[in-house]
Parts: sequence; C-alpha cells; structure tokens
Amino acid sequence: MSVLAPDPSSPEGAASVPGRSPRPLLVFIGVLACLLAVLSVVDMFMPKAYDGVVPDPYSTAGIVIRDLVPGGAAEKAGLRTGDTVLGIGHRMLNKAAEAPPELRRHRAGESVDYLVSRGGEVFETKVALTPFRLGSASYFYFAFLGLLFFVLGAFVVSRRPDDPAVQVFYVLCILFMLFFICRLRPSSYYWIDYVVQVAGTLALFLLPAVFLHFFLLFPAKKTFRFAERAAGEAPTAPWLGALQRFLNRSPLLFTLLYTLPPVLYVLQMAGARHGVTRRLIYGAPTLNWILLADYLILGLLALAHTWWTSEDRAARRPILVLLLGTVAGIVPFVVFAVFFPSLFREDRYLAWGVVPMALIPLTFAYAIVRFRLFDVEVIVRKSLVYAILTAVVTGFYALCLVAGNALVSTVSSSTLFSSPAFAFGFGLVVVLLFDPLRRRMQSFVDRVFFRDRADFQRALLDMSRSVVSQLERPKLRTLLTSRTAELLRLESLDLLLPRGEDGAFTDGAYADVSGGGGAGLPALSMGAVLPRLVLERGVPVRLAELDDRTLDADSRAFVAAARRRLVTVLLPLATHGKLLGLLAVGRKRSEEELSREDLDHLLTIANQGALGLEAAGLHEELTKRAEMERDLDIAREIQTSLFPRELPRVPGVSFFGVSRPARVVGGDFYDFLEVDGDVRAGGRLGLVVGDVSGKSIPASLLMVAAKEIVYARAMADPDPGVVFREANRRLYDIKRRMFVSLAYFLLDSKALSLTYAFGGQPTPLLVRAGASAAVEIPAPANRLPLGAFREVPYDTVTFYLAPGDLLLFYTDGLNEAMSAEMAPYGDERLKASFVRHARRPLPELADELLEDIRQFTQEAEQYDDQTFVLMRIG
Amino acid sequence: MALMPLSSRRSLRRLLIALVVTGLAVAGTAGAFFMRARRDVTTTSEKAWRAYHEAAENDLKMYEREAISGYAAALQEDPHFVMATLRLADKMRGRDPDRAKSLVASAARYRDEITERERLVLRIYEERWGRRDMAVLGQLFDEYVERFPDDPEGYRLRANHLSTVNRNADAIAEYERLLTVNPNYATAYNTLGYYWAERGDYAKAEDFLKRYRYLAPDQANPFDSLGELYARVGRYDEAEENLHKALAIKEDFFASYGHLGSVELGRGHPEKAAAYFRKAADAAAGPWARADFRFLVVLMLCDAGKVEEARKEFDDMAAEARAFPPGSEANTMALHTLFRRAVFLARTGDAAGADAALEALQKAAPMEGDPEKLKGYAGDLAYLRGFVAAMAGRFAEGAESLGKALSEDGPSGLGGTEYYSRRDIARILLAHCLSRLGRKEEAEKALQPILARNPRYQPALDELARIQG
Repeated sequence: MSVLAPDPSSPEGAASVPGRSPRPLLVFIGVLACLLAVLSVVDMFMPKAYDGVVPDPYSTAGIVIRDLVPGGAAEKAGLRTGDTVLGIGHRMLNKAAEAPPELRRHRAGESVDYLVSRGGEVFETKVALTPFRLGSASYFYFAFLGLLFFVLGAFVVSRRPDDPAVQVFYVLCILFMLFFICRLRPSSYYWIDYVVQVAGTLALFLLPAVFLHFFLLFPAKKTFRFAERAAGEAPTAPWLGALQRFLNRSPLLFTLLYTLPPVLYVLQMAGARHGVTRRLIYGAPTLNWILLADYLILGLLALAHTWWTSEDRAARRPILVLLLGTVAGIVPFVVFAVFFPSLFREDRYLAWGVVPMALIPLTFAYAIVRFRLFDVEVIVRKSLVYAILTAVVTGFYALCLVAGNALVSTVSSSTLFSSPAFAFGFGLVVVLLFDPLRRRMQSFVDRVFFRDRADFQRALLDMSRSVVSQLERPKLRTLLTSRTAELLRLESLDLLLPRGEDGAFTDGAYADVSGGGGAGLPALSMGAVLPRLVLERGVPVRLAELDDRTLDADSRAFVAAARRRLVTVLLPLATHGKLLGLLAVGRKRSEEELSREDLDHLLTIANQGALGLEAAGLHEELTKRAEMERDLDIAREIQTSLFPRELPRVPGVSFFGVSRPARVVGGDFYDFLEVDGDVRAGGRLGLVVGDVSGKSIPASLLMVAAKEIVYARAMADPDPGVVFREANRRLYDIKRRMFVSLAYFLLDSKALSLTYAFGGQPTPLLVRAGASAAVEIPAPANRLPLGAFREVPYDTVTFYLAPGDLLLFYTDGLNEAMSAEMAPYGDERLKASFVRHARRPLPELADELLEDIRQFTQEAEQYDDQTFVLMRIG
Repeated sequence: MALMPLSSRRSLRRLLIALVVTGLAVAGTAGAFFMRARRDVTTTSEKAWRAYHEAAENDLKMYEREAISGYAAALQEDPHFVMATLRLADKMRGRDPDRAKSLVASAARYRDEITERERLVLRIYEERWGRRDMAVLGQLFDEYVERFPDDPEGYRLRANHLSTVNRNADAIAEYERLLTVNPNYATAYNTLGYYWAERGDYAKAEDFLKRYRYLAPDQANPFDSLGELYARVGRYDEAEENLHKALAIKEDFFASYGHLGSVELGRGHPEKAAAYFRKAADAAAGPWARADFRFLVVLMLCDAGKVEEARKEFDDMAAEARAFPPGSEANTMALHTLFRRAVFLARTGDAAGADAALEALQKAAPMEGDPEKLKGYAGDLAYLRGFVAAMAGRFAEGAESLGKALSEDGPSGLGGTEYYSRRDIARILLAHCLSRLGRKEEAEKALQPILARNPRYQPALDELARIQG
C-alpha cells in the first residue's frame, strides 16, 4: 500500500539508523509487557485470603474502598464503596500496600475484625475472608481486548520492525494492552496489584500521547500547511508560520506530547499533598482522563484529515475504514469513560465506553487483512484467518451436534450427549465434514481478501518461469528490470552486467518510473571490492548498512552514485560462484522500505535471473556458432564458384590448380579467362591468382568483386598494368582496410610470352627444362596489394617462355606455412621442393608440394589458404 | 546486518543480557530493601531479634507486662543487645529507676559496636537520666527525627518531650506525624483521644479512642478510655458496656470502677457512684489514687445525704493519709488532705471550718517553683474559695470566685482522666449562686457547657430544674 508508508524524508519517518536495530528493545518491551499482563491475569485467580475490597491505591489515610467485588466478603459484611478501612486484624493501616501482610496472617473462611470509617464515624465489623477471586466477566473481556491489541501489534512489528510508524503502532498496542489488563483490573491489596497498576497508570499516561503520535505518523508523517498562502494572497500572521514550523519540524512537539500527561499528574499529586482537592476516576486524576480524551480526539482528527486530503483513491479506502473503526471505538470511550465521570460525576457507564474499543484492533486487523495494511498478508492468511475459520467451523459442527442430540433426546429420551459415543461420533463427523467445508470457506475468504495477493503470486511465478526460459538477452534484461520493478512497485531497478575486455559491470538495462531521470550507474570494475562483497554475502546488501571505509575508491564512487539514484539494495546474480551481474534495487514507489518478503522475492528473481543469463549466454554462443557455420557454408559455395570448373585447354600448355583453404573457407582464388577469343584458336589466356585479406563471407565477396572487376577491365583492355590500376581504384572504393593480393598473368601461347602485373602476390617460380634450380620470374616495380591505396602505378612486365618451362603461381600460404614451432616454410624450401618434383606430372607434383609442406608443418594448424597453379609449356 | 529476525541469536543474546541485568537490578533492590529492614537493631541472635520485635509490637499497644518480658527475653538470647537493653530500661524507669539506670550504663559499654541510630538512642537515654537538660534533649530528638525520618520512635520521643515542656499543640502534631509513619502506635491514639476530649471535640476523641481500642482489644485501658469518654458525654450505656469489658479483661482495673462511678454520678445515683468509687479505691494501685477515690466516696455519700457515713469515710481517709511515710510526698499528701477537708467541711455546712482550712491552704501555698505548678495551685485555690463561699451562702462571693476560676481555667495539657469534674461542680455551683442572686438567665447559661456536652448529666439537670422552679 503505497499510501501507508511513513515519509522517509522526515526525521520521524526516516529509516532506522543502520547498525542500531531497535528490534531487541522492541522484543524486551513486548516481553516485559507480557509478563506484567500475565502476572495481572494469573494473579486474579491465585489462592489468597481476600476480603473483596478494591482499594484506591493512592489513599494514604486508610484504605479507601474504590469498589467491592460483587458477592465478596466485604460486601457481605456491609462495607460500602467510599468507606475507609482503617485496620485489619487489629492492625492499623495507612495504605493499601500494608494490607497484604495482615491478610496473610489469616486464612480464607476466617472472620477478621475490620475497623472502618464511614462518613466520619468509626466502627468495627467482622469480615469473613474468602479465597482470592477478583476475576469477573468484564475483566475477562478487558483481558481479551488487551491480548487482541498485543497480538496485533506484535504481528505487525514482526513483519516490519524497522518502520517507525509500525514501531509506534506496536508500542500503542502494548499500552492498550497494559491499560486494559493492568489499569482496568479490579485490584486488591497485594504487591502485584501495585506493580501492575503502576504499569497500567504509566500506560494511561503514555497511551494518549502514543495514540496521537501514531496518527501524526500514519500513514505518512503529517505536514501542516495552514500558514502557506498562494502567490498574491495576503501573508499569514507570523505566529501562524511559527506554529506551523513547530508542528512540522520541531522535535519538541513529541517531547511535549509525552511530557504533558505525567507532568499534569505530578502537579495534581503535589497539589493534593497541599490540600488541593482532586477527583479520581479509576484511580487516576480527572484531568488526566480529560487530557486522554483530548489526545484521542486530536488523533482522530489527524486521521480524518489524512483521509480528507489524500488524493490517492486507493489509499483513501483503507484510511476510511480505519477512521470509521477508530471513531466507533474511541467516541464511546470518550463519552462514557471520560466525559460522563468527569463532567457528570457518573462512572457507572465506564464499561459502555470500554467495550466498543474492541473495534480499534478489529478494524486494524480487518485493514491488515483486507488492504494489506503494513504489507502483511501471508501469516494472517495462514494463522489468523485459518484459526478463525477452524473455530467457526468447529463451533458450527458442535452446535449442530448438540442441537441434533437435543432433538433426539426430546423425542426418544436418548442420553447420547453424555455418552462416550458422542465424543467419538463428534470427532468422526468433524474429520469427515470439517475439511471440505473449511476449504470452501477458505476459498471464499481468499477470493474476498487475497485476490490481489494471489494475482501477485501468480504474476511472480509467471515472471520467474519467463526469466528462466527466456533466452534472448534483451528480453531477459527487460524482464529482470522493467517487469520486476512493475511487479514489486519499485521506483527503479538497474541490471549491471559485465561488459568490455575488463568485464566491468555496467548498467545493462534499467527500469525507472521515478521520473527522476535516467542517469545510469557508473561502471564497476570486476576487481572492485563491492562485487566480491555482494557475491560473498549472497543475500541482499543494503547500501545504508555498507561501511564505506571498507570499500575501495571504485566501489565508493559506485555506492555514492547509487545512493544519489536512491538505490537501496544490491543483489548478486550468480551461479556456481560466478558473479554474472548485479541488481541495483531502488525504493518502492510507496517510499516504504523494502520488506523482508520483497527482498525474498528479489533474491528469488535474482537467482533465477542468473540462471537465465547463463542460459542466454550459452544460447548466444550456440547461435553464433550456427550462424558461422551457415556463413561458412555460403562462403564455401561462393568460393567454390570462383574456381574454374575445368582447366583451360591451351595447345602446348598444361595447367593444374590447387587451393587448400584455411578455416574452412579461404580468401585465395585463381581463375582463367579468355580475354580475346578461344584460347584453342590462339586467343590469349588470362590467369588470375589472388588472396583477400580476412576470411569468411566478406573475404569471399571481395574476392568475387576483385575477380569481376579484373574480368571486366581485362575484357576492355587486357594490359595487366592497366587492369590493375583500374581494379585498384574500384576495390579501394568498395572496402577500405580490406585489400586483395592479386597477380594477373596474360599467356600468349603463340608467342610463348607471359605478360603480367603483381599486386602483393609472391613472384611465381620457374624451372627451366633441365635446370636444377627454381628461379623467380622478373617482378614488376610496383607490387602493392590492390585496394590498399587509391592510386598505384602498376606496371606491366613481359616474360618470354621456353618449351619445358614449369611455372608455379602461388599465394603466400605456401611459402609462409608455419610449423608447430612457428618457423616459416620459406621460399628456399618451396623452391627445393618445386625443383625436386618438377619432373612429375602436374597433379603428382601438386600433391608432392603439398606433402612437403605438410611434412614441414606437421600437426600445426594451417593458418592461411594454400593456393597455387602449375603451368608447363610443351 | 541486512536482516535480523527476532529469533536470531544476536537478538536473543541482547534480550538475555537485558533480562539478566534487569533481574540483577531487581534482586539487588529487593535484597537491599530486606537487608535494610533487618538492620534497624544490632544483634547476633535471630531469636533475640524476634523477641525484641514482638516486645516492641506489644509496647506499641501499651502491653507493658508483655513488652517488658519480651525485652527481657531478647536480652536473655543476646545479653549485648543494646536496643533491647535501652527499651527495657525505659519500661523499668517508673518501677525500678536504679535498675533502669544500670541498664543504660550497661548498654553504654557497647557504644562502639552499635549503629548510628542506636548510638543516638543511647545518648538520648543517657541525657534523660543524667543531666536532663531539656534543651539538649530537644536537640537530640530533633536530630533523631531528621536523621531517621522513617522511624516512628523518634516522633514518639519528641512528642513526649514536647508535652513535658508544655508545648502541647506541637506534641499533638508530632503524634499525628508519628501515626502517618506507623499507624500502630496505640499510645498515640490514647493521647490524641484525651487531648481532643479535653478540647471538647468528642467525635474526634471517640475516633482516636476507637482506633486505640481496635489496636489493643485485649487490654482494659482502651475500653476504659472509651467508657470514660462516653460517660463524659452522657452515653452511659455505651460507657458501661466498655467499662465492664475493661473489667472483664482486668477485674482489678480501678479506673474502670471509678468511671462506672462517674456514670452513676452523671445519672444522679450518688449512692451507686459511691459504691463504685469505693471499689476503685479498694483496687487502686497506689495511695494517691486510693485517696482520690475515697474522697469521691465521701462526696457521693454527702450527695446521698449520708453525712455521718461520709464523715467516717473522710476521717478514715485522713488517717490513712497521715500514715503516709514522711518526706516530700507525705507533705503533698497532707496538703491534699487539707484541701479535701475544706471541701468536706463546706459541703457539710461548717463554713467556719472550711474558711479556716482555706486560710491554711493559702498560707501553705508555695511561692516559687515550676510556674505551671504554681498556676495550677492558684487555680485550685480559686475554685475552692468559690466553693466554700457558695456553700456558706455567700453567693455573690461564690459567683465571683467561681466565675473567675472558670474563666482562667483553660484546657489542661494533653488532657487526663476525671471522675468528678471540678469544672462541672464549679459551673453547677455558679448557676446556683447566680439563681440565688436572681440572675436566672446567667445561671442557665452557666449550665449550658455541661448540658451541651452531656445533656443527661443529672446534677446539672437538677440544678436547672431548681433554677427554673
């Protein structure tokens, strides 16, 4: 309930001081109050000799009889309210506390001489003491009411112990309990009475102030604006402004609230000692009761004002319920228990004022259950409602059985009810019929009271499933931030994921509904203290509880920024001890503190989010791999399409080409083209051997482009230098920083000449017929790869061949093949291998060349394409 | 500490520490309280302490015998028990002054082993039986009350002292303070009852005396005091009931016989009164009380018209007085006898004899001494002079003397027992003189104080009837 949270910006509404939890104190107060209450209740039924006198604990000249236990010994002896007992058992007494030792000297049933003063006349009478019996039906009611208050307060504070408003509510409930159980109990002389009545009196003093305090804090700290004026309006009186400041800001306000009742009491008691008459109601001065009424009325007005001024319709409803219940509980009390005794001197109707006060805890209980007031639901459902339902159903069955038995007994004079079979039958019937009926009632209650809660649980479950099953990171991030923030009604929720080479946690996604802007959180390096701290703790870490001194500079900067962003809690997203991310949780939109249940939910979501992130990472990797496979397939197809399907048939010249790609798809290629007609009819044959920087599809595409450009230019002007200059410009424009090594050879089979230009390609090797060494053919002056620079003056070289010449056109994948020790194969080894196998047919020669390289590289991975074309003249 | 459930160890540890600290504080306070309660006297014996407290309780109720035996029993258990020694000395003071002094001296030997409070009590007792300097005693009492305001004994001692120095109003206030500290001081109720009876507030007096009776229901004195009060206000049946109860408790309680005599006197039965006064005289513990009652017998016999019998009674009484051992008390007794003789002679019509006795009394009047005593003596003579004059038929002189004596006679001290009030006698004689002088209205007015207090006082009613013809 967003409206039911204190204002954290105010001192009263501020979250508790980190490291100084009030919980032990709250527990101590609760235990002490319970002890007093139990002492009070148990004492009512302890076996002691008692005269049935309810004394005024404050009388000092004898024991003034405040009340008489109906049918008690004193009443039977003729004593009356207002009489003063001067002595018991021939001992004179000044005050009630002196009576117990005297009573202890006697036993129940014994007649004891009392000296009594009535209207100035002193007389003796005999009082036959009876066993101690103070408990009455009204006291049972008061005790029940007190217990109800305590259970309510303890329950609420156990859910939200750090909420100041809840703490005040808890204390209020305890004071109500003490007031009912200790203050409104009939008292005897015994010390226990003194103890519990003093506690009850203290409760009476504190109760009104705490009541008012609570409604000044609840549901949010009340801010008075009666001295504010809009622009243009006349300014208010200075004293009004001062009053407003005092009411809104001064801590003295609450000090004053709490001080006034005891001060008033002390003043009255002091006045009484000096002869100033004072009237007591139930042992407390009238003025204190009037003050109590004033405080109660002010508290109600504060609540009414909250309801009236609240703009949130959803919030108004629970406040209205509380207002109506509290008014119905308080007003009769103020009228019958305060105004009647103080104004009309009539306290016979006190019970009429006290009985309706049960409406206060009942209303709060209803609001807690119905509107999730104080954010408590589950335990209510599991305990309170179940218990009530069980009691109701059991009672119903019992009633039915008793009625049935009565019916049977009237018609057949059966004694079923007193028969042992009744108990057995009753138990059996309950077992058989109880659960179905209870389930139906529970279902009804759930529908009425817990629909929102059930919806929330369902939504949370759905989201948890989605988080685990969602394999797309962006959607997962959205689920973990926006959806979670929406479900838990958070102002902001940042997901920090490791990015970059250093793996620093950066704001991967965030949800921000606060309207405060989306300034993200700074990066937090993986090695900083904070991520490790969060990972080690494995639970939500409250920023407020972090000791900055234990953090490094990086973490401190992050924490400072997070606090500015009103982040309250950090949660780890970790699996198998590995931190996958961080959740930075902002405040709730209601501005209330995150409850334990909220944190549990967040932790669950974080754990599932970590699993989701891990799964998404694996999925991404697999997808990438599959995409790469697909790309490689395409590239392979493209590349395959670039190689000639068959070797050209040029008279007097034989060819053989090989390409062994690295990483599945290579960037090398070779191809033949007929530049001016059929080579078999004497046309020139072009040979292109190329190598593109990079691999995969882009490389293949560039290779295609290079080939097509060369082809296109070669058709127009077969001069290799010209072709290269033109192709260089085109390739430069297509793709910068990706270049092509290309060699273009133009074979004139008739003239046995080879005209060529190089661009980054190694110079072909030549073995003349009968030669024992391989040599490089003459290289042109400009040999820069194509596409590296816009303008390169490639030149053309013509080399004349002779029959028997064997040429090896190759890419650098051959001579630069690397061994496992990273030693290059080298030009010399290539030349030697080429010479050694020069006499073999071209396919065998090709195999041998490759085999020699493989022998050299052994198991080392082939890191570059190995492509070559063999050409033999003659 | 992100979340600390209420049942966490840390929380429980703090709670346990808080509970232990609270428990220790409570236990310490209770221990200190009980130790303090036990530390009011110094003794090593539990039995002695119990006997002492029992005796002190009896002391409060004026159960003298039980108190004395209790203190003695305490001393038997612990011979060095200083407070028991001092209390016993106090009780023995009237009976055996020498033993009382020796007890105080023996207590003084343990001065260094006792508490401050006991030392102060010892100093008080030493002063009372030593130098008896009233100023010093007053200071000691003030110091005691100031230092030990919760001890009722201090208020009792100071009240006694104040009455001794005639600061009666202060003494009464002190008694009232004493009762706020401890409402079980029987003597205080008795004193307050007599005090208010003396001042005419009989309701208040009855209240206090009823409390006294309630506190000591097995003592004769409370019933006697209340009976006396009822007799004084004309509630004769209640007076008789209480006085008979007193006699049922203590059959030789002479005061109750005396007050029964007063009842009969008030009823106008002098013969019956004489019989009770005689019983009182027979039961009286000492010669002074016996002489008083015998003289009352004489007066009642005179009123009953048995003059010869009265004369014989008077002669016997005088002879007994003459047999008093020589000394200051014998002289005082002789003076009292002379006073009574004057009354008797006047009552029997021997005016000359009465005048002679009066003259002898005037000559014997002390000239110096305690001013209060001198004043009392002068008052007695004034009454006697009026009485003698009225009996001799010198009504004007009688009216003047009696009027003056009554006007100068205010409430006396803290009040005391009266069997036959001289003020009542004086008022009746004054009325008689005035009526004989023809001042009937004044005569009736003179009787009014008696009849206002006791409308059934027969001698006054008889005189009123005479006045009214």
